[in-house]
Amino acid sequence: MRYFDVLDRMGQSKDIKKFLVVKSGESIDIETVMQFKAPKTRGNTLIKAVVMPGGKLNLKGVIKIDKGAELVEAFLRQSVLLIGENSMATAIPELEIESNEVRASHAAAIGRVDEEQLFYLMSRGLSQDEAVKSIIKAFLNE
Amino acid sequence: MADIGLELNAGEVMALMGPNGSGKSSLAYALAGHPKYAVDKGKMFFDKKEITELTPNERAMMGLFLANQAPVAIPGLGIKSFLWQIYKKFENEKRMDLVKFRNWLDDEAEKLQLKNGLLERGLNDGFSGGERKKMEVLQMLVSKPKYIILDEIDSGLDVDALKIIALRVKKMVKEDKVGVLIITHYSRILNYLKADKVVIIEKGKVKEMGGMELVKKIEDKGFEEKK
Amino acid sequence: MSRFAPIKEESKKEKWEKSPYEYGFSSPEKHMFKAKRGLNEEIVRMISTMKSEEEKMRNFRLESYKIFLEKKMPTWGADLSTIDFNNIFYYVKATKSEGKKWGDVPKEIKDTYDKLGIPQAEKEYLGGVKAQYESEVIYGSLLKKLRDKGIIFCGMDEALVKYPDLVWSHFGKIVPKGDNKFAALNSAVWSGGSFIYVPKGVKVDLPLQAYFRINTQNMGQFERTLIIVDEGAFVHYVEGCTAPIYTTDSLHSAVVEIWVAKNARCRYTTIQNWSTNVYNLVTKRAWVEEKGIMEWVDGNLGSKITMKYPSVILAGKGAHGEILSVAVAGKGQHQDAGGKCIHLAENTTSRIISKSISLNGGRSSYRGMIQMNKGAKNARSKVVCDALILDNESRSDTYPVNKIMESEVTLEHEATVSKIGEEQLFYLMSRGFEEHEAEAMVVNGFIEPIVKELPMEYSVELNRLISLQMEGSVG
Repeated sequence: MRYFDVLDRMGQSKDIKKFLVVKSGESIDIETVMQFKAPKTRGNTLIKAVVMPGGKLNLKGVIKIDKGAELVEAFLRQSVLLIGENSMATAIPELEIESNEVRASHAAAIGRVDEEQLFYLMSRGLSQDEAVKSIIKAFLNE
Repeated sequence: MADIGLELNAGEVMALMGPNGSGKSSLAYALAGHPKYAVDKGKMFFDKKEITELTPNERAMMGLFLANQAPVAIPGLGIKSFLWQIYKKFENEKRMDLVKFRNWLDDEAEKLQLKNGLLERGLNDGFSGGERKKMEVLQMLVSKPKYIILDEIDSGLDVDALKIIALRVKKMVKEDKVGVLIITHYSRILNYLKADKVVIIEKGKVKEMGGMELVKKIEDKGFEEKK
Repeated sequence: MSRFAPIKEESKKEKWEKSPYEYGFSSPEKHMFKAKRGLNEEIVRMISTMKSEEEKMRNFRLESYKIFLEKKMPTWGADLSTIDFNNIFYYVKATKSEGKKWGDVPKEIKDTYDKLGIPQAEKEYLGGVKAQYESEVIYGSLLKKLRDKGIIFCGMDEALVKYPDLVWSHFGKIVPKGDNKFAALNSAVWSGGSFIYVPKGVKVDLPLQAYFRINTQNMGQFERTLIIVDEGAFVHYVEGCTAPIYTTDSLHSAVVEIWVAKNARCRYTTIQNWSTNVYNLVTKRAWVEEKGIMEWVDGNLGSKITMKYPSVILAGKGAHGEILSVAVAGKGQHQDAGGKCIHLAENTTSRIISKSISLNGGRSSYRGMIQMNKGAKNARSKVVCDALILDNESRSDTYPVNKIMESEVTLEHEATVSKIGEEQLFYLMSRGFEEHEAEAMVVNGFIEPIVKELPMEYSVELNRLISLQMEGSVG
C-alpha cells in the first residue's frame, strides 16, 4: 500500500495517522510519501503498528522537501510494537531535504512490550493476555 | 510600539513595568538589535551615538548587554571557552591569563551559587530556568557592560536566586556606575534593587512615569485601567 | 612456488628491517615502470610480481579482479558515473615526486595550510611536492616499545612477508573479495596500509597513528588495513589528517578489516580531507566477539564523493558497536556516509551518532542500517542523525534501514534536519561576536559530541577548519 501526499499550496497543513495491527501470518507493506513543494507548509505523519506473532511488516516513510519550499515543518514517526515469537518489522524513515529554512525530523522505534508495564497490570489482577491487550490498546491510543 | 521616549543614565536603575503584551520585551529586543524587530520610526542612542542601524554585535561591543528572558541553549558550546572568547573581546589592557580567568570564573560561579560542574557543560544545556538566568549574570561579569537590560530576570526564580542576582547587579551599579533597565512584572526584585525611575507601559505606549511609589500603587491595584 | 622463494624472502625481510618506508616493492631501482593507466590482468600480475608475492596472494588478486569485472556498479548512493576506470593508475608511482612543484598546488589549499599554521616541510608533503615526511628519531623508539610488548605494527606488505599465517587468518574474511565492486577492486590491486596485532591482554595506551600523523603507506589509493585485537586487549588507531591533502590520484578505494576478540576493544579514528577531485569509496568492517567493543570515529571533510559506511558485526553475546560520524559537505561535494550494525547474538548493543553539515550547495547523506537477526534477543540500538543545512543551495538526506527479525529487542532512531537557529545567532551576536563567528560557534557546538572523541590535535584543527569554511561562505 502506498500513500502519497503532496503539499503544493502555501500554508497547507496535513496530518496523516495510520494505526494497524498485523495479524499472525500476515505480511504487510506500507509506504508513505509526503512531498513538500510549497512554502509555509506543515506535515505530520504518524504510523503506529502492532505486529502479532508470525506477522511481518515493512514500513517505508519518505519526507521530501523540495528546493524553494521554505519555512516547512515536517515530522514523521514510525512506532512498532512486536509481540511474541517470529514477528518481524523493517522500518525505513527517509528524508530528502533541499531547502534550509525547514524544521524536519523523524523517529522510528521498534520494541517489545515493556516488562515493567506488564508486571504492573498483572499485579492489579489482569491475566497476561489481558495485560498485553491493554498495553496494545494504550500504544495505539497514545 | 509607539511614542516611547526614555532616557537611562549611567549608574541609574530604571524599572519598566506593564501587563503582558504591553511591549516590554519587544523594546528590549529592539534595543539589542534582534532581527525580528524593525524600527520604523524613531532613534536609539547609546552614549550619544545612534545605534538604530547597528548589528547586535556592534551594539554589544559598545557596552550594551541584554540578559534574556529565556536564554537559548547552544549544546556543545563549552561554557568556559565561550566565556574566555568573550573576555578576550572586551578586556585588553588588564587581561588575566587563562588559568587566572578560569579560577576567577569558578569563584564568581560559586558566589552566584551555580552548581559545581555546570560550567563544564554546553551553554545552558540541560540548565533550569534559574541556572540560565545566573549564566546571563556571569556573562555580564565577563564583558563588563556599561548598560544592562534585564528582561524579566526574576520570572521563574526562587527567592534565594532572586536575591543573589539582584544584589550582584546592585554591586555593579554602585561600583561601576552601570545603567540598568530592568523589565519586570513583579515588584519583589525591586526590594533588593531599588529603581530611580519607574516607567509603566501599556499597549506599546508610556502610561505613567515616576519613582518607587508607582511600584506600591501597582502592587495594590495591579495594572488595570482606572475607570 | 619458485625455487628462489626462500632466498627472496630473506632478502625482503632484511630490506624491511633496514628501511620501513618502502612502498612495498622489492627493489624500485631495478623495476622501471613507465606511467601506464588502466587496469587489466597483466597489470594485476605485475603488481604481485613487483612485490614478490607468494602464489596465494597472487591468486587472491586475480580472482578478485575477475569479480571486479563481473560486479555491477551500485545503483544507490552517490553518482559514480564519471569514474573512468581506464584513466587511473593502479599501482604506486615512483618514490620520487614526479617533478611536482609548490606552484602547482591549488591556491585555496595553500591558503588553508597557512591559516592552520602548518610548517613548511609538512605543507610540501601534504601538497604532494615531497614524497616522504619523516620523523624517524621520535617514532623509532616508540616502535621499539611496542615491539617489546609483542605488538606488531607495520605496513601491510611487510606483514604479509613476516607474518603470513597471522595475516591470512583474517585477511579477506571480514570483507570478502566478492563483497562489493570496490572491495573486489581493492582486493585485486591493494598496496600499502597497516597491519596491527595486539596480543592477549595488552592495552596500547598511546593512539597508534599512521607513523606520526602521515605516512605514504596509509595515503595510498588502495590501502588495505587489517587489525587483530586479541582477547582482552585494546588499541586505538588513528589515520588521516584534517589538513587538506592534495593528490592527483582520483580514486581511493580502501578496505579496512578489524577482528575484535572476546573482551577486547578497538577504536579506529579517521579524518579524511582529500582534495575535491577524489572519489573516496571505502569498505570498513569489524567483527566483534563476545563482550568485545568496536568504536568507529569517522570524519569526512574532503573528497568530491565519499561513500563510506563503517560496519560492525556483533557476532558474540554482549558485543557492543559504536559509530560516531561527522561529515561536512561543501561546494561540489557529496558525503554519503553513515554506518551499519548487524546484531547476530544476544544482548548486543549498538549506537550510531551522525552529525552532518551541508553548505555552499554541498550534499550530505546519512546512509545506515541496523539489522537484528532472529536470536539476537535483548538487542538494543540507538541511532541519532542530525543535519544542519546552512543555505538554500545545499541538501541533506537520511536513508536509514532498520531491519528487525527478532521481537525481544529495542530500536530507536531519530533524525533532525534544520538550519542554524536565529535565536542562537542573535544571542551570540549580542555578546559581541560577528555573524560568521557566531555561525561557526554554533556549527562547532553541533559537532562537538563527535569532535570531543578525537585526539586533541585533530579536534583543534577540525574546529579551525570549519570556522575557515564558514568565513568563506558568508559573503
